[in-house]
Amino acid sequence: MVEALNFIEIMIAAILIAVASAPLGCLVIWQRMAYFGDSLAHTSLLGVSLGVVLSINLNLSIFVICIVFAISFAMLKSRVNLASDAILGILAHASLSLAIIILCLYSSEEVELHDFLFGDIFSLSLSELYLIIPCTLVSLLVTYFIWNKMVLISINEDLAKAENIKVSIYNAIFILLLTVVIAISIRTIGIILISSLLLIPPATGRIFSTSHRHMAITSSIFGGISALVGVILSNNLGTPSGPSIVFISSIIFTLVIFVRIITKYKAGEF
Amino acid sequence: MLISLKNITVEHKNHQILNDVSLDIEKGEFLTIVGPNGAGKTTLLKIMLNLIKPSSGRVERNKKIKIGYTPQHINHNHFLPIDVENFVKLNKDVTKDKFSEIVGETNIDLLLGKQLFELSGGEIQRVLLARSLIDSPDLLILDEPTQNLDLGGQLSMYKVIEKIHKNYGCSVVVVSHDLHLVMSNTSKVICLYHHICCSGKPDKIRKDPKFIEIFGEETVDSIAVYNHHHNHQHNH
Repeated sequence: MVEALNFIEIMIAAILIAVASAPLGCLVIWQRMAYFGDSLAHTSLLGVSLGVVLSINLNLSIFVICIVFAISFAMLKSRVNLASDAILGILAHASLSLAIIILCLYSSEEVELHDFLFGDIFSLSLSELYLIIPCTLVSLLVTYFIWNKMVLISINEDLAKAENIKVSIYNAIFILLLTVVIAISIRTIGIILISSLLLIPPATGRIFSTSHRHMAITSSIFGGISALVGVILSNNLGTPSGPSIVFISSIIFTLVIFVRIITKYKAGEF
Repeated sequence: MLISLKNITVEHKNHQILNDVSLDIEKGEFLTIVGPNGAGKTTLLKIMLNLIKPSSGRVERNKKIKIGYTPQHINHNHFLPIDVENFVKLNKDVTKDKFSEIVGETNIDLLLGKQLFELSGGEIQRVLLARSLIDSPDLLILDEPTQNLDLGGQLSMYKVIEKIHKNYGCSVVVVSHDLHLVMSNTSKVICLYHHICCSGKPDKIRKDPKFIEIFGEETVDSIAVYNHHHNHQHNH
């Protein structure tokens, strides 16, 4: 029997995931890697199906598949004469289709595909919470330590290399963090929507910010609020948690844009 | 000697970008690399900076050397908010005094509060130059610092670079595909077109038949005219 979490514990899980995703999302936007995040998330369904069929820990199988995906992408990119997004598309859709085929052929029990696609935070177990807490905290800590170097790499890779920064190592750490955060978010946000959590809060933060640190902090705050309100909404209306959180974050984005236009209008800038 | 390149060849997809290039960069030297577009100038800089490995040949580098580098372009990313002051200091330790000294030398005091993506091409080059000076480099490597500048902008950029060369005593390697101002200022010019066609003092190189062959008689004549004009200005 899986022990169900109480509401506060669920809230903590959702907020931690949103807060840890936000600064990584800033880096994803700056490095123009939005499609990479999307592809990584889609690929993770192959991890889910292998985990189910082989009866191993889902987080582990998702994590391993995502790492294999990232390595295959890096290898193909340097060897095949194709644009990055084409390679990502091929890898993501190949693994997505394989995942569905495996689930259809080998899964004895009925898998709630819906829960993985759109998230169901209320089915989180205590052991999953105990995984989410250290993973998000370590992710935030590592992001803090690699931050300045990643910002410089986003501005100009050659400049960073010339200043003796091991660019490939920092990029690998960044991809690893992204993989960990996506792997632990799948039960909460879902495969389809996890990349929106990497995109919308940083886009909201950008509207206010004049510095990269400021953008990381404000986007974490917006992400956290979206998670908080989204989980309450999901609990009260019985809607799936992923869409609820992402929808709230897009409402906040729209409100912020609206407020921005009004303040500019009042200041006579239009 | 700071860096020594020996018989460097770089090939990319069966295409030879650099062919048997050897050169030494001495302490305090001011070296300009000229050549037409696609001659391999940026590749040569990347070899010096250890950003790419040559297909064959050897790079010897003084172990303690500190290199400052300004790339041709940076990523104009509107999504990445960062002002000039924070960019110059990003991932660096710098004292207040040193920072304001460099800001003065590179003439960027009015830009400090501006966002990086708001700057013009010439402003970005001065900001990159400021950043490259923070660690007190022994060698400055500048990739087309006067690209997209009008004549006045090119002149003032070269003045800034000359001043830094004099005040900091560092060696300077500048790449340009634009000959007009380069020729009167540098201690040594290398003309590159996949290999080193000719090298030497500007006065000597201007008369070199290989140099005239690559750039055309008209261009070379116009340099001479401009140089005369430049000297004339200085005499008053």
